[in-house]
Amino acid sequence: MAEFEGKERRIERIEQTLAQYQIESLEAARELCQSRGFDPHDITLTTQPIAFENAAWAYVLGGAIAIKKQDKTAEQAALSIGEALQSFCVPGSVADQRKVGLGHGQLASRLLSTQSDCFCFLAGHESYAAAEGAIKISEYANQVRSKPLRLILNGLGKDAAYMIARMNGFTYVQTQFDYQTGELNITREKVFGKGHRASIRCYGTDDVVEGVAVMHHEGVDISITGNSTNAARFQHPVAGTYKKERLLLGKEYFSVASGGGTGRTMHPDNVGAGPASYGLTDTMGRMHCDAQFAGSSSVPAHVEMMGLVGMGNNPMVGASVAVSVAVEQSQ
Amino acid sequence: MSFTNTIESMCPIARGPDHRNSPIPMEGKWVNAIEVTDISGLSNGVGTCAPHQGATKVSINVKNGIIEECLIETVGCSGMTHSAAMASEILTGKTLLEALNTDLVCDAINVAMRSIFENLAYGRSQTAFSEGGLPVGAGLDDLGKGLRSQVGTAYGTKAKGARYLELAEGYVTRIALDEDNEIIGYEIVQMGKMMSAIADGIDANQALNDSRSHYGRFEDGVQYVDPRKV
Repeated sequence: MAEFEGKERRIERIEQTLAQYQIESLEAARELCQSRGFDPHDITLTTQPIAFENAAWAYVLGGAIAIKKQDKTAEQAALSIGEALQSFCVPGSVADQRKVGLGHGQLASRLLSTQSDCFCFLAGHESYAAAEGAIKISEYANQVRSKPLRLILNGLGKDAAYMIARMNGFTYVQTQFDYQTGELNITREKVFGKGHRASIRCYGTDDVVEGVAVMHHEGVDISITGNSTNAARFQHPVAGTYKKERLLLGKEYFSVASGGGTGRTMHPDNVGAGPASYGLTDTMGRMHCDAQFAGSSSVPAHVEMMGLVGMGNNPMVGASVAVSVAVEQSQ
Repeated sequence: MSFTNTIESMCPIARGPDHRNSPIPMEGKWVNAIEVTDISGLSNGVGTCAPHQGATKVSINVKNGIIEECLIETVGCSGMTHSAAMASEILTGKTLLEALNTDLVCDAINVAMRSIFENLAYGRSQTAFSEGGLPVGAGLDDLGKGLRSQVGTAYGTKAKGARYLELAEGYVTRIALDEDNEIIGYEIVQMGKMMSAIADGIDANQALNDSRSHYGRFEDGVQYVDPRKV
């Protein structure tokens, strides 16, 4: 029998899932995938060599479920992988309660969907390197998409947006929001750098209202929040407001809550006192998200502590996409 | 406990509410914190002193009310660095409550400690939802390879613009400028990595070159500037 971290607390759910899809064991699941010419166990550990065994076996189960369900496309397979990840969640953990496993599957599915056109990294522009995770995620998806996913950065602060674009070779898009008419006017575009990075558009905004206008202007389908100048003052309100307005327009929008405070309980306002004076950032993320990351974008142990599996959230996105594509290509 | 005559002579009126306090999230559980020993978790706090000469970040990992590990990082004040050295010996083994009325040798560290106490008491820890919390040693792991604090030093004047001196990646040796004289990248030396290599017996110049890297569009620079000289 396959051995992996935290097996005793996970095995009951996993066995239920195996039975549901008439798979004898995790080893049998791996053999099923191998017989179709791919091995999710290897794909996982190639994506992040320091990932835990439990992550590798979760993806094995995901691949096998996709085969059993006769998923034809990577987009469908991603949802099956989400089911497997969810069954690996420790019962009662934050990952279990917030359905982080299913959320990962849904995000991968959306990234692979031809319906999705624009992916936004939504944060304050606090760091030159902040968008690296979002860039990696879009690159994973673009390896298999027929049409590349457009990537934008939308954050508080015009000066910072300009400098981040300049440092990273993005295109800075200067806007002027008209508060009387609600119009977003583009006053200047400055292309820094060349190649793929120049296609990444970087917006800086004055406030939430302008931030929402940018989302509409670019027709954002998927976004992921990062940590920021003040997560509770900009990115979560933008995501929540945009979500409401997109739904009213009858359009879809898949929102991922990630970054500082997510799945933890740090409060953005240290005058908080008395009961429930924790976790406002986390709560605001829960109010708009379709998927919530928790733990760490890169450190396996921190994600494991949330009760999911031992693999960084960003590499997990990569592994979800890679295994989904392997399922499609094995037809 | 003694009562005044006034109270002794009063007729008793029943107290109705008998709820417990609100539970707080703590290391993956929901805990009604009553005693200081009920508190576990890893949290950070930041403090400064009255003249705001410098700032301290303290991280502590608390298990059942006892401070098992502490990390003290200071910036901007020379005395504070020595206070940190002393506080790192003083803090551990004390209860969270005990640490409040312990002189941590510097106001900034005392204030940081107060801030952490509040965070942990109100459930604002980094490990609120992390089952079992973080192992002792997590504070050190936070420093990363080479075990050095993340320090940012950046200077600017209206007349001559900005100079990056030290950033997350390390000690800045050169700044790259584009044709408009704007900063588009920087070259750094990872001091921790370099010193570890030297400690392992690698030649110092070799270690310096092996620890050099750059960020941004450094290679597209039209001009390179030493931020400490030019």
